[in-house]
Amino acid sequence: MNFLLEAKEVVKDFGGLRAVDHCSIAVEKGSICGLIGPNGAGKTTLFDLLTGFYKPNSGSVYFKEQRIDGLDPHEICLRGLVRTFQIARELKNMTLLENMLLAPKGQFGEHLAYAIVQPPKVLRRERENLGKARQILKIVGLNHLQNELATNLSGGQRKMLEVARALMTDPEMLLLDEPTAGATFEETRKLMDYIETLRRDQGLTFLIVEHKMEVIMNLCDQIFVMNNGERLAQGTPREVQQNPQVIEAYLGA
Amino acid sequence: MEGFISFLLSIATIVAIYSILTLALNIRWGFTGLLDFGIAGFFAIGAYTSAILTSPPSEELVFGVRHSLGFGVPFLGGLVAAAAAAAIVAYLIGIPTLRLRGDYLAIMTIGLSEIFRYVAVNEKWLTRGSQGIRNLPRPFSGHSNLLDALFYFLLVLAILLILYLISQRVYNSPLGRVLKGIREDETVTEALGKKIFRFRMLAFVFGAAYAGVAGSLWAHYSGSIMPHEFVPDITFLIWVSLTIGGSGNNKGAILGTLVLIGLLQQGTRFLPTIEGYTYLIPGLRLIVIGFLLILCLRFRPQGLIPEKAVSVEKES
Repeated sequence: MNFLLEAKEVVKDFGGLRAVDHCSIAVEKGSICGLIGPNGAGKTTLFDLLTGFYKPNSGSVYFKEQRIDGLDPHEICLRGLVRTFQIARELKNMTLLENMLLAPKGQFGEHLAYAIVQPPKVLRRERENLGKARQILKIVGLNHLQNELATNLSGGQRKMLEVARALMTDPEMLLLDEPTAGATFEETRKLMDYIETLRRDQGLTFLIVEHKMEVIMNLCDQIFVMNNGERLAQGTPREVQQNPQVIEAYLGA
Repeated sequence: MEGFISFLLSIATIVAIYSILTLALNIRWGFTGLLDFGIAGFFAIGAYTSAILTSPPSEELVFGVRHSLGFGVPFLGGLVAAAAAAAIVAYLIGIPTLRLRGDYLAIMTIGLSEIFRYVAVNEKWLTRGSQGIRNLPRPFSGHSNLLDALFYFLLVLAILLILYLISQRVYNSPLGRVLKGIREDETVTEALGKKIFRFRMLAFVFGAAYAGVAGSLWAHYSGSIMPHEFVPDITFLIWVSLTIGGSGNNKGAILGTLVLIGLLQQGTRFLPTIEGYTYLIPGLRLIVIGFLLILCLRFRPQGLIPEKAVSVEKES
């Protein structure tokens, strides 16, 4: 079986603390996987390891069968593996559209000469990106705020922008770190539907850290459970819910 | 009357040259968020490059050291070389320093700008040390003093306008967006696939080229340059100008320079001195500048012309 994303026995130490301990996960292309575990289990650290923000002390990470641990975060993004952040990090003094238009890769207009001259191909690309940005903002329900500064958004809207912006990079796989934290019921519903649609229509793959059990259990094909930096269990939502170790460590009886 | 006009022209020219410096800082700090305290250093590099290249070839002893430089290059060559030299030095310095964050970069850049100045003081074979380089040619000269001053002012103004338009275009381009992204949140911008180092370097080098141009214009305006003209005070005046005018906004950068350098720094130079209190005006000037900065930070921290949200609407 070929996996789209595979972490093999990754280890990350911070001083004497082992945040991630020989953790292995494998995500199939086109699947929606959940990553759960109590606070401090190492979920976000694992995300940081997968996306190049930390280098593992040992172990390896493969994306599309190529080794990516040791690459810089921007290189990993360019390969199609894109993350969002647990605490939404909108670019505050930029509008929503600017936030969105920053993300697409391979923009000619990022080169100094093109930026100054602005030949037609820069403008054409800009128009294409703009159309796409508006479309995505509309789906996540932010299109009426497109020229608003991102700093004026509510907590849930920020999380939505975070996901929308990541989509602008044309990813093959998204790592979402608590995408619905702070979101309203309505927003959560909308985002879940959108994730389903993206998987179905564009074949996107997802790995989602989430504390809301109804989101994880309804959305995911496969769930990884972490505890104390280790992978405690893995399986379908049903299997995980019935796993006694998981119940003890996390679901709390 | 003629005296008054030439006085106004001299202030206007100085303001225009300093405006280019403020634009340079705006690219680095206002757009990209690089905490840069070394603008004066790149100003100096531009001034010295242009001065050395455009001086007529000569040989003389300066403090017992043979000074035999001077290439007689035309003004325009000096100007381009000044921008290039400042950019190249910025690139070389950028390689080790631009990986540093915030305050470290600030210390490095202020240190380097002082090092440049000490090089100018001590490397007499190159810079004629504290005697300075004199008799620099000024383009379009040889008419009456007033006409010369007017032509030079118009030249500086034209260059300022061109550099303003370029900077404005960059700000509104995808490149400008990435620079702002780095200013707002480096980590996110990197997670979105942008190679931060490359863009920080670009802003650093681009700003240096602007400062180099300003240096060249300054050298040919004043006709002679000396190392002590490039003290860090200049860097701080430029910082205050940008802060008052509106960081991130090119128009604000120019307006801030006009207010600070034009009205306070230069304008007050010609106030009548009060008998027995010769030191009063220069001292007061600094107090007023400090006071203005405090007022600005307290009541209008975004500056006189704040950065505007870029509306992409009209382009579609």
